[in-house]
Amino acid sequence: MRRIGFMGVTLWFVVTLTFALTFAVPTDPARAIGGPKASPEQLDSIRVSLGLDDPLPVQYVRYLSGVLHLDLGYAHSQRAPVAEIVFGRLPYTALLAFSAVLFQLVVGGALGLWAAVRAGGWFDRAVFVGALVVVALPQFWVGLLLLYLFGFELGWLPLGGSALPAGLVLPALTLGLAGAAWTSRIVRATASEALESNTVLGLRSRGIAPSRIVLKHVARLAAGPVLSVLALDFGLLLGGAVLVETVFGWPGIGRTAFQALQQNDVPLLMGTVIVGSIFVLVINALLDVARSVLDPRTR
Amino acid sequence: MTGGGQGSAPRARVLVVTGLRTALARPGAAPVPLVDGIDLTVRAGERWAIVGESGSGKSIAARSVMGLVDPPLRWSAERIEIGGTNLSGAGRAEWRAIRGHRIAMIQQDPLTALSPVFTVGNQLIETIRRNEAAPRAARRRAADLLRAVGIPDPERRLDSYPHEMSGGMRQRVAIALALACAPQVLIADEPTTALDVTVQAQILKLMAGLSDELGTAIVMVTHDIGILPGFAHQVAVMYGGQLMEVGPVAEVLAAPEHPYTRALLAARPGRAPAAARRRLPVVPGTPPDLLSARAGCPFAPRCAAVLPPCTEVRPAMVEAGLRRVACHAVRAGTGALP
Repeated sequence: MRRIGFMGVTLWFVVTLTFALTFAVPTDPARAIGGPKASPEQLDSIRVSLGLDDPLPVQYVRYLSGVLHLDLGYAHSQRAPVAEIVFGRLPYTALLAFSAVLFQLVVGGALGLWAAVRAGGWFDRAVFVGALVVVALPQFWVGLLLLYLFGFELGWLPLGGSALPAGLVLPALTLGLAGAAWTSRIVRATASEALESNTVLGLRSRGIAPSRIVLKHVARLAAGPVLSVLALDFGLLLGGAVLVETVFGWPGIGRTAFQALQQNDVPLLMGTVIVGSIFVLVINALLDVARSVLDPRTR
Repeated sequence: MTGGGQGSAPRARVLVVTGLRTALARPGAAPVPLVDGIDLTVRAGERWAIVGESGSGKSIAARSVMGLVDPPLRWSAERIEIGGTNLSGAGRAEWRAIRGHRIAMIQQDPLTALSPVFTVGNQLIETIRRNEAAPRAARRRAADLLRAVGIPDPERRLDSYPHEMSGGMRQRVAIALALACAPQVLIADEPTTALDVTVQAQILKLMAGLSDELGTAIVMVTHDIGILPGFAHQVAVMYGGQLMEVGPVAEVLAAPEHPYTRALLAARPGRAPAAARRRLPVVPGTPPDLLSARAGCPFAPRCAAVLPPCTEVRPAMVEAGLRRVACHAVRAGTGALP
């Protein structure tokens, strides 16, 4: 219950901030709609029709009530309601984000677990160095490199677009790579600690198989911290989606946001930000539930 | 195994260790011996106490007996037999087959010994299912085990998490876990230290009862001499990684022979009312610095009965009746000084 209230406040904050930002950017929506050849009279009539001549508080309240009714305004660049466009694109972004997170959890988790089991060995060191390198690489560069290698040079995967599942592989990989790197570090640290713990000593003293100790007990103990960091970083991941979707022509809300920015479509941009925020909040709530399932002490 | 026989013939030896050594390996330096040549023979149903101060190596000795020491610690033994199986030079798989089945362990801190993220039942059943394949039968046995260690409403408790239980209850669960595959030997590393005094007594009583009932031998590591009389049959006094004196509890407590045992017993808080106002006696000096190389008896620097050979020659274990003592002074007959 408190959680829902908190989400509401966060959302209100986001909406207000985006609303304020539209006045900070040096863009005239009327000019954007009317085009460079519109006369001053035409521009004025556009302003009146959009309600831009109303006092600021009136505009704010109107916008707020619009958001509450899921009416996010009209995207003039695409000649369609913002809500329709953004919610139409959301599944693509959700699919991309889900795949990236899955990749980072599975790959990062496996690397981190094995590095902890082989602590101090060559594998551990290789994962450590590899993670440092991957985190340091700029995402757009990784995306272009993968695109060049697998799309152009080898021709295994499409150069862009939303073909499934082939079109999803490279964007998900690009988006999840850095996450896999830090996941491997977190898992390595928590798993090492768990392997030294009395819990694991007890399991060993009862003759439980080492594979079972690592895959059941240690992995479960490492999952909590990973989910906590994932919840914190999910917003960052969506930020990365703007870039990755643009590079790969993936039709999600990230690419929509970039297009809106290019075409000075402020309502559409605001819509992507608000819907993106709702998405992050919902995912965070789900991760919270998942964490309390995985670690009964946090209930 | 040679069990039974007529009357009070010796019972089967369930744990035989000779020349147990565990050392801390250091890069570019000589290893530091922490357990320095220990011999121990435990018979079925016997309850042993290994007594010593912190740093005497008693806990590491207990873990070494189970093969549970990891680098940089390294252990070796001239001979090690558990439940009739010779484990000298045994590989990981052989050790794993022994653990739980023949020998199991109860740890000091019941909170960290149990996994916090799985239910008590999950952890019990996991261990039971090493033997018992059917899930339903395993769950029944898990409930029976909880009942055996005195946990009320065991069926419901199977679905509890460790953090929902008190310290004493958790230690009972830990005992149930250790008994899950019916081991012949139970190693208990200060199993009551983390508990308050009344719970301590209950846990000790429970362990003693279970060992009588099931015939499980117990090797308990402790620094608390006060718990020996009601619990242990045999005591091994350890100092500086070596055994000083070994024998039946009643005998050792009544007439300690080794100067260290005597100093240790003298340092117990006095029970006699006359002694109540005196300062608590202590064992003079400090425990040995394990990092420095030493020869002779580890207790020599603190010993009141020290003789010339004590600092140079390690005293051999001498058997006298049911007692074994490693002391030059006792051997020379000069040990019984004040």
